[in-house]
Amino acid sequence: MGKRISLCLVLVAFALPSMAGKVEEAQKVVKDTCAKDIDKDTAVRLVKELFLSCSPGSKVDVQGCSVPCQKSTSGAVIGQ
Amino acid sequence: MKKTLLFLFALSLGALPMAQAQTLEEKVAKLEDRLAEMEANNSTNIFKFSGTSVTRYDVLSTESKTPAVVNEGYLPYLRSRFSINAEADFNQYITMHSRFTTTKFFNKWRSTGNLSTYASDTGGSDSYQDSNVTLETGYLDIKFPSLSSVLSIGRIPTSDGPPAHYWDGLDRQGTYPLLAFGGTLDAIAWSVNLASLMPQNQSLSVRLIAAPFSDLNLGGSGIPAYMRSPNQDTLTGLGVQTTKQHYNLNADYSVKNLSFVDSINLIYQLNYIDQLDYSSSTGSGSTLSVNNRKIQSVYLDFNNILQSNVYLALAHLWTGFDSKGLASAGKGYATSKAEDTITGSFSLASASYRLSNWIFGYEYGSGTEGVIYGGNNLEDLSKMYGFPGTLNHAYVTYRFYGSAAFRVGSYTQNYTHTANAIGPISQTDNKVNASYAQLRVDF
Repeated sequence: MGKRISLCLVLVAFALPSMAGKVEEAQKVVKDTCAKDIDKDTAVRLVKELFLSCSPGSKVDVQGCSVPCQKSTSGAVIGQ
Repeated sequence: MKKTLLFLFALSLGALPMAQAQTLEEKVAKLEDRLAEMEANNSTNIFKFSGTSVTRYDVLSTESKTPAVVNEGYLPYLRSRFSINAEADFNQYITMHSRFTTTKFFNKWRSTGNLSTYASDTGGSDSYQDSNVTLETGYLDIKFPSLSSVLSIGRIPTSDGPPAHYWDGLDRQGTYPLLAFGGTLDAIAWSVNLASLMPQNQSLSVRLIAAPFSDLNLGGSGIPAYMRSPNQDTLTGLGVQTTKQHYNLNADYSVKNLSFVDSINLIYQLNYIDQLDYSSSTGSGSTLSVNNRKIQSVYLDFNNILQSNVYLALAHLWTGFDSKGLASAGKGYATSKAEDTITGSFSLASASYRLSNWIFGYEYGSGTEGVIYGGNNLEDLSKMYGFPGTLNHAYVTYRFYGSAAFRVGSYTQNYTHTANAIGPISQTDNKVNASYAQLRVDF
């Protein structure tokens, strides 16, 4: 039992630095854009698509709804 | 003895859960330590990397009867662009942005004909310099929150400005509009962000950008480099400055979430160059310079009009300059006169319709004699934005895998006059037809 708890804690600990807040952000943007509630498991899988692999300005298909890519084109316009 | 053993056994049984609890607490404490260490390490990773790869196939044809008979029916070109972006967010007030780019034709065997040596730096990132990597962007943004201002220093992102981002359905790619002097420029810029004075859905930034040109004398024959004014044939050093004034005023307004459109962007750009000198023919004893060069550009776009997925951008460019002197007999800049004022303009309408992963686009442009075009971008093998004549351009883009865009397109350019160069402008019926296919991946 102790090992299982430790394993869970380790997984959480490793997941936190890369996903901190992004899951909630993914849930919020889908809610705002598509008026849909998605569970955390779905949101976790969406994080990479919405924040990393899409092109800034493009749309990502989420269960038939187009969600704006959350990656920004940083540095294209000076002084921002 | 037996009792003692039983007591010790009972004691050890009682102590076991406590030992487990202590172990668990210790493990949690260790995990917390490790988590804190990981967060600390993560915060030292200040660099973010991204990039773009573009591979493009063009087939051009060109024909004219005047001023010269030309009939080239099939000119295929394969070329590529590869950029790596690196950003450093190392300080809450200072950020660094950079882009390293190579643009090249596939496996160039040779090149023949004339190649202008002017502006090889400002057009470097799109001048097809084989395997050389060019610093396309490399600047610092230094924020002054109390003044709502940002100081930008270095090679700033000017090329591929709006509406270039329409072609592949991307975010804005550059600070200057496409119809502006969009070479790669080293600059010192002061941006004032006036968003705090605006309603919540609006923003306004005003930028003053100084991007002086350098004119160098590299010496030779016993003359040390940089120790003489720049040459102008036999009039070496007379009035030729090593640093040329070049200023830009850029005002950038946007409003979002209106009832009839997702966003509207309006950009105004004023560009002024005091004097650019041209080398004269050896021994002619003459001088040629382009003075008081003014370029004004206005850009306006409407994004997702009436939620119909229609995007529309309108842009206009006014240009003017004075040609002073002659490079050789009868050859001023865009004139045969020793002193002349040349003006011109170019208008562009760019529309696109986005349907799921598809983008259907059309562009129409029209320019007058004498228009200056100083932009550079990957599309522009035949200088299709900012020339005297008309442009018709249609394209279809298919976006896939989130970050890839495949585009096919076709355009025609019907020239009315030759482009500006040393020597007079003449009328022409030159026509350029082009088709292309392009794959772009942003990563």
